[in-house]
Amino acid sequence: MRKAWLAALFVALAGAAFAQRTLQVVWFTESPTEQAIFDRYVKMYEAANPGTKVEVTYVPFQQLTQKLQLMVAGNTPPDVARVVTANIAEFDPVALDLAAYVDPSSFLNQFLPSQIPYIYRKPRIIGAPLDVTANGIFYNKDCFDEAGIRVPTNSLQVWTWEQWREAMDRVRNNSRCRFALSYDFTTHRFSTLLYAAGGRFIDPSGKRFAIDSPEGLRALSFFADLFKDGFIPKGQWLSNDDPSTLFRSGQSAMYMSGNWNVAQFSQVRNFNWGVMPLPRDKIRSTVPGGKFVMGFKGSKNPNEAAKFILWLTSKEINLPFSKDNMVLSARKDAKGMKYGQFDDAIAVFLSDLSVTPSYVGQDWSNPVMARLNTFIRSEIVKVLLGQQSPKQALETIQAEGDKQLRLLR
Amino acid sequence: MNKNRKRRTRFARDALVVGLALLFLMPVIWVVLSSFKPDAELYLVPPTLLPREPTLANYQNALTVGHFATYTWNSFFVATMSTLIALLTNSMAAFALAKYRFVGRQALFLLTLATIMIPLQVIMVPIFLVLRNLGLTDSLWGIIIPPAATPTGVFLLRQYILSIPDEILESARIDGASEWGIYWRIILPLSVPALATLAIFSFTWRWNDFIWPFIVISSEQKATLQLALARLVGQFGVDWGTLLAATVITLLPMLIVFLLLQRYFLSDLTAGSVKG
Amino acid sequence: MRHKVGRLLTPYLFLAPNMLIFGIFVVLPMVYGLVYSFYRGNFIGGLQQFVGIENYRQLLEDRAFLNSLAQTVVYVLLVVSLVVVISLMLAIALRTTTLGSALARVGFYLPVILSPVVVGVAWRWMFSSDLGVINALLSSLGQSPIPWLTDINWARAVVVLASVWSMVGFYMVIFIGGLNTIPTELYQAAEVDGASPRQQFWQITLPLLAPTTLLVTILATINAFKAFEIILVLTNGGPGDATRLLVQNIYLTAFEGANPTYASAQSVVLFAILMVLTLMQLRVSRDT
Repeated sequence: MRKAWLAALFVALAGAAFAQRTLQVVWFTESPTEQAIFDRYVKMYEAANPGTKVEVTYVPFQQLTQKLQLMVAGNTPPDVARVVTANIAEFDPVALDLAAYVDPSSFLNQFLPSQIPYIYRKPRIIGAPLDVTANGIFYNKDCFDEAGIRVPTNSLQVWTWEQWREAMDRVRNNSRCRFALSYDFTTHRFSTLLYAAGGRFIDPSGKRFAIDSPEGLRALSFFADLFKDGFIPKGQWLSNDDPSTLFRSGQSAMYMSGNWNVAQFSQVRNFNWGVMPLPRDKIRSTVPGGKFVMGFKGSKNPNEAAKFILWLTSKEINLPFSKDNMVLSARKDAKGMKYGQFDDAIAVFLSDLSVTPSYVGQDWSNPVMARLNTFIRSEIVKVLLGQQSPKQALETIQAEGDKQLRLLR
Repeated sequence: MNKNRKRRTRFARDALVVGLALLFLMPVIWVVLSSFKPDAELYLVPPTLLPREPTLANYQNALTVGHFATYTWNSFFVATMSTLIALLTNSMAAFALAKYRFVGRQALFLLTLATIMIPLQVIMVPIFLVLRNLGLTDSLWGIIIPPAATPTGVFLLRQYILSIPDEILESARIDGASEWGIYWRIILPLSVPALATLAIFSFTWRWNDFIWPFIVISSEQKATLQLALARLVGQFGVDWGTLLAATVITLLPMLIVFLLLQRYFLSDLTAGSVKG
Repeated sequence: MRHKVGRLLTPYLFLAPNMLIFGIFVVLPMVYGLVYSFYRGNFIGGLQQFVGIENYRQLLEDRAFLNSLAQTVVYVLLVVSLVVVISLMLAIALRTTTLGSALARVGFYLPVILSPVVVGVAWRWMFSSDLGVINALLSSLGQSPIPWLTDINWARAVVVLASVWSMVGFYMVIFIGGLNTIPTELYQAAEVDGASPRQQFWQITLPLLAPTTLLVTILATINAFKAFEIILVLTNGGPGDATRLLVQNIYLTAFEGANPTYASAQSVVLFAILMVLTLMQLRVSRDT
């Protein structure tokens, strides 16, 4: 017995003596399958780099920002973290500058232009894009067939908002779907309507907010009416009900969310689903976003961190990684990549992305948006509760936005 | 005749309170029943009470999430160690506060109270700094030691020890017992019911704790069940079936500990020892 | 002489381990928090500028903060009074030794061993407007569904009920412990004197239970003021901010608003309120 202990102790000490470098990676979770895929790639990296052990800290998405804030405030940042657009703007001041490790122009040139504003703070490169996301609408094919509604399948016959509303009314009354539309409870998803109406959050100068506009009013009023008329179940924006549950269980005919759901919905067995091009108002637009990997100044292994980031976003790794996860790679050379049975759905997202104006990405790469997310959302909720008019909400958001922009400068 | 009637009213009373308790437990019963339903049945309208096609699939999924055995062991180790430490340190403090008069007693009592007045969530950053400086980050001891000094535990025990008559202590002193001896041989044995109560509370708190592990732990080998459970709520959507099953699984050890110790604190046993 | 010095030191030695842990892991961070509250700063840049009481001055005009404070006060009043009354009733009703009582005690205690997340999830399953069991039941009975969690007042009521539900078992146990320290001879004597059960309750149980009731009131008040996790899962503070209580507001300010020093000022206020309330409760109990 004692011998066993001693042996264990020896092994532990020996392990410590020949200590490998340990690369700490903070990775937020989307789903268990996705976690298993990442574990596989981590093993590949370790096999290719025998001196390095990668230790992954999986964090629930809701607590990602907070975990990173704690680690940064405690001066113990991780080597690498996977982040979303809001985080990369917030952690810009402590980001590891990748420009020291690559030739900036040829590095940036590998990625889609829409992702560059997020990572390029001249002359620094503060992260690398893992994939591109686009907001979009999933729909329950069975319910639409049942109601006898033909859904546009390509960009030539995109619905207008009025046609979209009419379809909601018909599908709700003539199919087994109890609800017309599920809608993610985020400012980001609401903004899909804002951009389609021709509006934007921040004006071209970048110094003032621009949401208190006729376009903003059009978008918010249209949205509020969708609740008033019962097309969107109230619980999703008023009591934290999970919209995806309602869609996956076949009770909601449409779901406003984004392309990242494709992998998860591939498990749906109880109905057929598809993706429709986003309905247009003044213009056609989606909201591009993405996930990124970034390193941190003052982490233990900055060089190794840069190496891991470059590896994960290289052509050889990123394309198969994106395919395994059924997400859109942010690399230009991923163009024409096939995903098998979901190519139709993915083509719709790509088509929406191709017509999206560039200021949409600029809006969301501005660090104030991370601060204002919750604020804007709760002002919208007050409209839904009937506590204020859409116009009042826009004025409040405008004022707060201007204030935050001023504070930032 | 009279005896019969008495028995009947007692039976009726028992049936009534048990019925009320069951009604009270509806949310829990619902969770347990739902955990055996296949995904499609979870969202049926109208919902089914008993699972129509009971399945263990959710449990299989839950048990294969990450390293379930590791999480369970970590949670168990943390809850047990932390509870043992709490029993010792809290009872010592409670004894001092209940049975000695000394300068600063009021102040220390208030200080103890004060420590539960700040929710951990709002002092996370400084806590993290302290733990980092002590080298306790990403260590199980970092979630065992700090929460062990539960103020609530001190109060419960103090309240109980107050009711132990001073004469017993005095006569022990006259017989030459040391202060430690009094604590160890008289106070502790007499406080068993209160200690059992605290053991259950403390085990529950540590087992269900999310906030301390979240601050302290970052590596997968040291993650606890609650950390793993929280991860089932993904960025987009919740895997309800697995979450419900995992919830029921994490409940089981608690239930066992509770049933093992419950006779101490839910029975009349407590009355005997302390009657003045 | 040596013996006497030893006796003097004894209580401090007994207190030392607990106080050491408190001091390092709770009091020290609290002091940090107090210091933060006089600065402006963030997670990335650290403390940047000493601003004196500016953060506190700002609190007085902060509608989100004042609103959550007011909501917290109402919530605490409702939860604490319900918890004290219900857990005392349960303790008295269930302290008997019959099998039925034992089973019922286990039943009423069970919610205490659930983690807050589970409580939130379980209540959501019951009360969700679109997927909840209760509304499904109502509509199958031909009644119209009730907007449990989407209407401001219903949501507040559900939040209070869920909190009480999760807490009463804990305080019931404490009350049973308190009841058991009351000598049974007193009741026997009262019965001999012909006192009715109601008289026994008002003249024996309640007065002798006063220390326990005080303990329960203090603990319940503090815990209710700190309510956070159950509500986070149940309503996430909604609809709108109708159930957003103080701790959630502090949490949002610190992490989502990335303003930890302003959040510190809010937590100092929370601490001060609790301290004053506790001192008042202790004072009242000493006077009576």
